[in-house]
Amino acid sequence: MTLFYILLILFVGGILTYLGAKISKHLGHAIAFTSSTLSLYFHSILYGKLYGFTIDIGLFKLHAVAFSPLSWLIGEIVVVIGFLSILASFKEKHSDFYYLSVQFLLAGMLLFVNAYDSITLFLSLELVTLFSFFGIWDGRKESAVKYLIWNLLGAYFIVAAIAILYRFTGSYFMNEVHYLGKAQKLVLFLLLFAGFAVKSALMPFHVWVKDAYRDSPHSFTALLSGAVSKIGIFGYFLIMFYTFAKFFIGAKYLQLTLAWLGGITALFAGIYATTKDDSKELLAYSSISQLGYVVAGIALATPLSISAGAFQFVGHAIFETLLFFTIASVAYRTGTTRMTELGGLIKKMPVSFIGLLFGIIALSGIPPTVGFPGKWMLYESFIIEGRILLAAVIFTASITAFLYSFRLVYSIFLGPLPSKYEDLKEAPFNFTFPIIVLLIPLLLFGVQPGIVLYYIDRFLSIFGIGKIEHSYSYIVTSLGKFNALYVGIVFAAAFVFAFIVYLLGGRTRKVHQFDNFTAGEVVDESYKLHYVDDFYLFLEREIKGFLKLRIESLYDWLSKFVDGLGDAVRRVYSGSHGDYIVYLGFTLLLLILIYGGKLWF
Amino acid sequence: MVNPILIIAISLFGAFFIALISPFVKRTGKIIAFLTIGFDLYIGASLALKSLRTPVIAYTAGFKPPFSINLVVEPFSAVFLLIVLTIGFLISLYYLAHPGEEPEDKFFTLLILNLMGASGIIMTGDLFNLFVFFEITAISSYALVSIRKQKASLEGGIKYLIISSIGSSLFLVAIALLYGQTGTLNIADIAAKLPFINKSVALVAFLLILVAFFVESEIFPFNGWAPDAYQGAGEGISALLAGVISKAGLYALIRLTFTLLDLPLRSKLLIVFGIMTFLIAELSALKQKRVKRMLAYSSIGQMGLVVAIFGIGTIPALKAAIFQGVNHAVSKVALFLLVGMVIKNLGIYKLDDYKGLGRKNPLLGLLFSLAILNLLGFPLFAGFWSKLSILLSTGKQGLYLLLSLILTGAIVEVYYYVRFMKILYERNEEASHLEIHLLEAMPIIAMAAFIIIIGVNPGLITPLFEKASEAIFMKFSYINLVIGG
Amino acid sequence: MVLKIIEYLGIVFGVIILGLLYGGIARKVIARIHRRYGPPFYQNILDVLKLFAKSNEASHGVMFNLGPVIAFTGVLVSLFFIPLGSFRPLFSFEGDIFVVFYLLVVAPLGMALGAGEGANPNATIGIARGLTLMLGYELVFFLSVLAPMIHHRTASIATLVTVQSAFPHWNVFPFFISAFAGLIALHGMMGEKPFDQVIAPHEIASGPMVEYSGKFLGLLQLYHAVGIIVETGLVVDIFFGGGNWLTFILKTFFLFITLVIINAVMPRFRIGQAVKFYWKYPLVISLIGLLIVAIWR
Repeated sequence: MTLFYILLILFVGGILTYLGAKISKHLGHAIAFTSSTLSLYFHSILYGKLYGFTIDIGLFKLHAVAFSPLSWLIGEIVVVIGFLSILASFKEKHSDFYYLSVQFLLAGMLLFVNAYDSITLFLSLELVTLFSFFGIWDGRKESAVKYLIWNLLGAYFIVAAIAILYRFTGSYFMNEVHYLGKAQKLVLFLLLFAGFAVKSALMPFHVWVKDAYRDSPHSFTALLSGAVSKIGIFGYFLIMFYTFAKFFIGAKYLQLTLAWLGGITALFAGIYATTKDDSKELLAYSSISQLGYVVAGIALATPLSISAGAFQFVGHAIFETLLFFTIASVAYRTGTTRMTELGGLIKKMPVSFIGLLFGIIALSGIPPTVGFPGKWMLYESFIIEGRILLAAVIFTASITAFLYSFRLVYSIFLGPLPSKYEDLKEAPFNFTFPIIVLLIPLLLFGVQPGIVLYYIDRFLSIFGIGKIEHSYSYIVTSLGKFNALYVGIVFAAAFVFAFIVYLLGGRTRKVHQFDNFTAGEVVDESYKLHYVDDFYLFLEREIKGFLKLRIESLYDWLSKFVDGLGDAVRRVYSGSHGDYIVYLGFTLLLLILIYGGKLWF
Repeated sequence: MVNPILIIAISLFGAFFIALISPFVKRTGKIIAFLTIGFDLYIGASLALKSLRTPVIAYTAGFKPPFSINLVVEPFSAVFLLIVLTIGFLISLYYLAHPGEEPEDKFFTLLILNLMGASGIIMTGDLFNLFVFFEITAISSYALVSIRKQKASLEGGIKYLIISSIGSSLFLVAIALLYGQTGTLNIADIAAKLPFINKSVALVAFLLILVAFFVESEIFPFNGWAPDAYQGAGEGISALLAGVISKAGLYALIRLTFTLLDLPLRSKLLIVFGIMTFLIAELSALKQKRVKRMLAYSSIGQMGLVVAIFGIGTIPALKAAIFQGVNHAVSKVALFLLVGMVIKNLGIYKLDDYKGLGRKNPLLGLLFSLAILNLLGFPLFAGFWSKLSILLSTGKQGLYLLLSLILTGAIVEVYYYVRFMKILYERNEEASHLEIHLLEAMPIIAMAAFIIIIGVNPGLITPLFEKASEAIFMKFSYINLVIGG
Repeated sequence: MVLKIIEYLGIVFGVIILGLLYGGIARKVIARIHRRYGPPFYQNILDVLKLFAKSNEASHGVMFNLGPVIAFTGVLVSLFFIPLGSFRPLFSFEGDIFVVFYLLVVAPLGMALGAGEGANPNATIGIARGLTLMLGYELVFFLSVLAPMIHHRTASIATLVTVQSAFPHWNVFPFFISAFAGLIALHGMMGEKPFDQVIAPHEIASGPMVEYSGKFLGLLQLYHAVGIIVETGLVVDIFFGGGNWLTFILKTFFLFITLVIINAVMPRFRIGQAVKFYWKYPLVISLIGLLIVAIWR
């Protein structure tokens, strides 16, 4: 029942926070802090246990069981990021309701990853949708509405599938389905997949992400990207290797299609990310792109590729959250997330800089950080399976990651410091703490990927998929080997060596930022020395045609169409009672003719 | 012994009492109405509870049916009786602190009569009585809608009157046809004799009844009156339309098509007309600029949805439809009453004028949001369970097109309601502060509490719906109950 | 253990000297092609010594200082995962080609970060160009390297070297199409003309290096020197059969000089043109190479 109590803590904590904040802001903060800490603690001690509960609410029975090793893993990601996000949000301005929504959201996510029947699954999915909607609502309402509409669309796909599944199986459990035709399974699978695809922002269901991430409160964005997107990923695991396991493992073409969908998402989102001026928009697309790798990995459904996808989402949870926290701390101090208005902050906010630096290193997948093992396994598995083009697409996507991540770190932290930020200080502890905390797993899992792989192994063996060869430090495939520990050690040694070489050189002196090579010109603030606008203009010029093709225009057209339809339909109610009488008489006559005709002739 | 006849009697007494004393004592109408309806509710509730164990039948003139007029309260009618009386009671509670429409004494007399008519429709076991109660409800509604001497109210009232009286005359024709065939007016008796009557007559009677009550339960294309009536009526009356009058119409529709004339084409017709109404109304609501009209269309749409789900006709579907009907009644009544409070204070009608109201008046915003979220079927609220039940029961029957259309309409609904919520919470320094009388807000707070309690534990109320849906599903249990016993 | 460390240090020094000599010889070759006399072939070694001897050099901050260090670190790490002739360090079996791919990025990243803090737009433009160019050549390189990898079913460079140990088994013969594409990619990777948009001395004043002087520039020289060996070494290992230390040096040298000769007579692409070029011809060539492997299998 521990899980139940955790949920109870979060629900009650949320309500108490709301009420407490009415009395005093600090009381509210204290309650929110306590409940998130408690949930973190209680969830952490569930490590390695089988846990769950069943409650009867009359209409349905709700079952929650940690039936998959990933349940605990994602649950832990949720509570950790939730805790950090709540901690950081104390420094930001929020309505009292915000804290309630965050805690309810955490509870919803925890319930989701343990949902054992489709009713609980849908209930928790809707909880997540609703309360993340309120989280974004606290930032900007238009984006929240967009988020809600899209995610409800996804939820409706899922509930439709649940309803149909119930028709055929007569059960609410998400157990493996038998006795269904291939076509039925395919349709149900695709419905569920599409539903989760909205949550994990797979193309073409990604259009809400940009707005939602950009406009949500900064600390909440970290939660959205780090934890809420994992709901969709967990959903993929659920349907691919549990509910439809036999069907999916055998369906080669389906696997390939979905893997390509992931690959294309990774590539396109990566390219879009390079063109964005707002750091949170950039990260939003990078998040989409990174989750594209995950989909490509797990959709291919070999033990290695699944491990790759799973490792990648753990990595994504770490580095993407870290990046959003650094942006949050920058935005807290400067009040903007637009890269064109920032620059040179490394001198003022070193901790945030280190966070962002390691974040982008992991994001681009450079060893020995947590971003690499996943990508490495992904390439290996693609090549072993002979999916060369897919590997090429993913590889190109990962190059775009270099492009946009350098733009991110340069535009914000490097380059000249605008004079308005002369007196800036490092962000407060509430922001630096999450950054420092997240750096630990970022490096630890980078040199000891086996810690995460242990969980993935258990998942693979429980669901009977196979296994991969690895220890804590290395991973071996039929193609090659990656020893993360050695890479780490060599890295450290090489750095020490290079640093010694550096120390051998002469002394240096610190100069002012404008004391540099300008071909003889004496420069000051009025010269724009920060190269940030249209960073990759020459690239954009080459792919102009591609950038014009946007799925958004289709959706815009669709929404305009519905709007126009509403306007047209509205006119049916003309307001004249003569018309209404004609409607009535005509329909009655028609009915009598149709049914009477059947009877009489 | 609680007798269903008491509801009729007390209401009539209360109504006439108001008329009697109003020339001497001013402003007592609302209190008398409150007390009368409160007493009705008490009787109705005890009847309902009792009927869950053993159905209650009251005879007049000491004869057994089919030779006498009778009132029947079995689980299905009990649920509707509860809805109608509870909503009526909450509306009368609301009017305790809210100014009634002028002239007040007549207004409250009509209110009581209207509720009496609605309860009569629900309780009666006799076709002609049903017609009489139906006329009482309808006529009092026309008056209630147009009591406000404004152009919009009169227009709404007139349209309502015209369309609805066509409906009731069709109903009368149907009664005549059936009486001619069977020689009885008792619902159960006619139902028992249905297999032996002329098929054509049965068909025509069925279609006439269907259309007559489609008019009352706001089904497209017979609902032309509804948007204008909702918009023109006072807010409490709009609530009454959504929560009581349309529900009574719905009850009659279901009772007459399920029990009286159980024809195979029923299911298809209900589904087709219901879902058509749902979609058209939701789409029409999308572009509305006036809050009440938007709510009116949404109300129509919800009625369409409920009718469509009733059309599926399995026990889970019936249960879901009743549940959704209850949720809709609660939410929509709450919304109309809230709008009424806003209009009383500020006199604003347009959607855009609501800008920032919720932010400025937290209680108002909270109640608005709760009602909306419940209507949209979000978890932690009762609406979630009813919507989920609807979808599951639809899927269970393999009605995939219906399922997808419901979901499509639901998305549209979410969009315009959330847009409304957005307007409520937009930043606006000029938003006015509302004086909210606690008594006025009381019924809405009660409904909010209901929404949340049922949302957390739907098991508290679903057994009731289960019983009701079984009762309507097994037509012969009703026939046996009334004439077999 | 100590012996091992000394051995490694020796290799590092050897490679540095070798790389500097390659650079010096390249300068000489280019000069001769340009009908100039050119500096002596050991000029680069002297340059580095001079640069390290300088003091009181301008520094723009911590990242500015660390940038060259990280760049140098990056190539050193990559060095240990590539078999260098008969020298097969332990590590070449501990990380395969994909590891090397990503390790190779560390160096440009370090330079980019350091140059970024220099706050000179020339530097940033250079980096932006470099990253864009990467979008061109990296994919081509990746695809062309895949051909022998798929054929031999291994991603380990050391294994690849072993299977082509004898002369006629060099991968370049069966996979000459892929190898050709790979060489074009290598050309861009090393920033030789027509792909030297990153440095482009006449446009953006040496790009990323514009603010660097003294020991920073010295470190960058070292990075460049080791980079030559690492990048050509990688191609030699994959396509030209690795070899013992002598043949390895010869092969890398000739490979490098070939590139330098092409460099000496080429103009410079506009950056957009360069990327487009890579997306057009070499990409198609490498895909054809892969197709052949696929059919051959």
